[in-house]
Amino acid sequence: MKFLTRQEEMVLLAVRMLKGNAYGVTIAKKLTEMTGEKWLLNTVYLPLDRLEKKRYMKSTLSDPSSKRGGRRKRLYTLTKAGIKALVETKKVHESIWKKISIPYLKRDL
Amino acid sequence: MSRNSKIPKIPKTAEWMIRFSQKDWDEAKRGDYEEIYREFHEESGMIRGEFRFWFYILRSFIPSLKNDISWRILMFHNYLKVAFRNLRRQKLYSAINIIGLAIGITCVLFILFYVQHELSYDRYHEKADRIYRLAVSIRMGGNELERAIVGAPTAAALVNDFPEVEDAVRLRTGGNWYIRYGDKTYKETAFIFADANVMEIFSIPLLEGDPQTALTEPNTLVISQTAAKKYFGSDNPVGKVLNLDNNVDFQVTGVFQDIPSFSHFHWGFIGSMASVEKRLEMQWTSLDVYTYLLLRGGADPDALEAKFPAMVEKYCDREFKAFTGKVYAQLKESGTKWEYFLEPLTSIHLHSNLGFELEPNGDIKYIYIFSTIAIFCLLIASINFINLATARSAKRAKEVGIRKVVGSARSQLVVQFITESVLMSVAALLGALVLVRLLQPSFHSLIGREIDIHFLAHPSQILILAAVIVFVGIIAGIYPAFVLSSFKPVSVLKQQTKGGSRDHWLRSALVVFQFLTSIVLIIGTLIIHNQMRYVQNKDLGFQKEQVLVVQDAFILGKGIEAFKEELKQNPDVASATITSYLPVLSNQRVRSIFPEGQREEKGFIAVQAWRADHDFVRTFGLNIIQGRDFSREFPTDSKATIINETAADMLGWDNPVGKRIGVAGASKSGKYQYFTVVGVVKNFHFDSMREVIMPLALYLEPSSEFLAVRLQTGNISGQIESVRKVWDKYLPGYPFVFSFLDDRFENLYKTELRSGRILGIFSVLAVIISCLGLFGMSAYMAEQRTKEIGIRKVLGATVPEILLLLSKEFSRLVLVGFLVAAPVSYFIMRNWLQDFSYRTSITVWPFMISMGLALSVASITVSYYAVKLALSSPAESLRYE
Repeated sequence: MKFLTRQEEMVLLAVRMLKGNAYGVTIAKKLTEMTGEKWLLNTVYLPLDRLEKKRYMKSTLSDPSSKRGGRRKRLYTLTKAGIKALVETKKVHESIWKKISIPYLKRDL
Repeated sequence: MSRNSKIPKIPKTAEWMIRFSQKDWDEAKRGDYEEIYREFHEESGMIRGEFRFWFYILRSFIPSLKNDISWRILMFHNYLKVAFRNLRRQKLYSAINIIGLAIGITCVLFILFYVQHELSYDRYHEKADRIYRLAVSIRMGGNELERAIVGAPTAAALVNDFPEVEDAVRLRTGGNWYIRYGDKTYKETAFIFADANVMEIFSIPLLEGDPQTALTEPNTLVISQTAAKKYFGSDNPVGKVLNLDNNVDFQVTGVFQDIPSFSHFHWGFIGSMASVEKRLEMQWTSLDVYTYLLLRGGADPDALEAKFPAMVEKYCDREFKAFTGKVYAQLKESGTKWEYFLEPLTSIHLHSNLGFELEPNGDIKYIYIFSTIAIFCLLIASINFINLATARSAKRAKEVGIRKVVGSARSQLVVQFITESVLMSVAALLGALVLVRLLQPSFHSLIGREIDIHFLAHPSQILILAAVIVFVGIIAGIYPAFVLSSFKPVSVLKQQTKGGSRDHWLRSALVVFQFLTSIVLIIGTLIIHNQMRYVQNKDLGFQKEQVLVVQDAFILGKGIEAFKEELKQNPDVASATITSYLPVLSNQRVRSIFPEGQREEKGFIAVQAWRADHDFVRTFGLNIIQGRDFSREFPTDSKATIINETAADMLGWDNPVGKRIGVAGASKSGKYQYFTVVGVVKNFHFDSMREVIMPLALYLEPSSEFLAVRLQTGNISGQIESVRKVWDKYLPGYPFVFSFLDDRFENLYKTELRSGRILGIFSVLAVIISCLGLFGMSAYMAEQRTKEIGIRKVLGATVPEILLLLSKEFSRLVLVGFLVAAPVSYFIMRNWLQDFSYRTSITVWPFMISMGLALSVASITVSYYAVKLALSSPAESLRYE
């Protein structure tokens, strides 16, 4: 399997956390909240498109709601492949981290 | 969150910026942005929310813009590199294009500067859009006159009667003056008398002196900076006294900034009107002063003009009645006209051509003609580019094929080719700028005036230059670009394309167009030349050779008669006359006459009524065909007149000698004076040949602007010297200013001679550019047909046969061009000749000559490569490849 980039990983995690309410605005906000860096809409669209193409997530258009002035949302959910990729990535991360000891890191913890 | 169902609208610009930074744009994305937009507004309020949103957009827009631009620059760099390589590889072809375009652009630049200059006339006055000149259109006794001058009382009446008129200024030409300061005396022609408000209406800034009071007193004047330097050096001229004509003293009360070249007047001296007020005839019908009106803001000049007829009845009727016994309403029924009209200040230079203009004006017609011709020159040069590019397309077909295979989009190829042509036009422009600099003096002498050409001084000029480059680059490049980029890679790479027949047709048509234009220009030049020769050689009815005209003879004062008599004693002098009227348009004096006893039936006839002396007829060599010349033996000749044939015809007399004519307004009492006709002169051309010869009457009355001297044939410069010696005896220290009658005669046709010359130059340029193109085409053709010619030679074709074969095609194109050009130029030139009442007929010669010229120049051009090819050994040419 191919590794996820850090950015892809973050986006997948954010979509997962939003549980069915994951669309452009909420994903960007979630990511900002998670990482402490400002994520703009067009910076999340790019990885979203890419991940959808890789079949890690799929999107559906919601029904138009008057709250959004009649505009639909593109709602994202993870696919099984997406979840699997996240888990694999996490495993690899952990197995690597176990083998490393960084003194000041431990002190901080 | 409020339940606001209204769709929040993202500003248009913001939307454009978002879409620029986004690949796919769909409803969901729009919805997302709208949500953010609304949220910002709800959180931070209208204004801060708006700002926050814009900031948000900019943050996403700027990085993508940077990205986009850097790619574009990269591509552009590549286009340029390839374009440079192509230019270098095809030296002949690039040289032909660049030289041709450079010549074309030079023409366009010169014409552009010229047109810009002409259009800028009189716009520098702050109140230019509110200033109008009052002029009058008159029909009297079958003559139509339009005059830029009106009666002296008119200005005051206009300001009084019409609320629209804020102010008015009168100007009166001062003629020539000999102005003396200390030991310096100069002749000054740029002299005008003006009302005190002249500097308020026109923008003539005073550098020294008080504009309010400078021209209020009699015998005061303001002078230009240049004049101040000339007379006073670095001294302050204000308060100094200048002597005019050895006669009156004028005090200098101010110095004004020099009047710019783009003005329809250029005065060095403005005298106060108060100095000449007493000499003004306070009559509406004696045309004496220029009158410029300053209208109030928003006033409608047309509405004002509509009120003028009532003004004519109110003021002029008294004078009409005194002269003719009838009021205007009655005169109007018999065809007389006296109508005032307004000319906007800014249109005077290009559109006004009335009698007594302040200075000779430009003509909008020539602006159109020259602009058209310059654009045609540029077109011819662009055609070279198109032709050579399409002709050589086969050479580049492979390149296009490979590029397409590798993945170039068609638009990229088009940009590539257009970059090449724009690059070429940039090179041509640089060449043109150098040419303009080099040719500037010749250009000035060609158009007869100085134009300020400051390169890149104006942002508008940079803009214009950029526009020229882009225009030329695109015009010349667009067709080849689309043709070349349309090649299909498969067929190109399999070598199936040859220049299609469509391209061949287009090329032929364009060459025909080039030669058509060149031939029209040549024919035009030749016909103008013919007409000028006709005008100069036609029997004028007087002898223009050997007549020396001494100007400003009135300066001699009472000594003038003695001066003339002394000259007549001189063996070099055949005869001499004192007059203000020369047979070449000088002064005019129009009077209304009628045959005695037939005033009612015949009505008035407007004639040129010239004051002459006993020697006038002899000096100018006029032919008396009936009666006799004025003679001292007949004291009654003071009441005599000599008329010309036209006048006799119009008076309806076959034998006029002994009959009497009445002249209106000749005496102060306003009654008629009668003169006996003693002789009739053969008609002579005293006006330009554009005009029909007007009726004329000569009287024995003193007038002294000129002293005309008929010299014996012999050594001219020695004779001038001997006249000058006599002048110096009478007026030591005063400049002796003279001219020759035949030079003055040439001046009548200055515009025609000049436009003939300009047209000549343009036609030479057009031919050169066309031939450059032809040269390139023949080089290409020779290359294409190397093998064919080799085979022909092997099969026994001779060199002349091959030459004929190669030049046949081009000759055919030139001939077709001629066939179209001949009727086109015939109609254009017939139209031009209509301006002349006396003109040559259009003969077949200009057409034959131009065709011969075009054909021979074209064949010589083509022959270089044709001969080279025809002489080459077939073994060489067949081995090629």
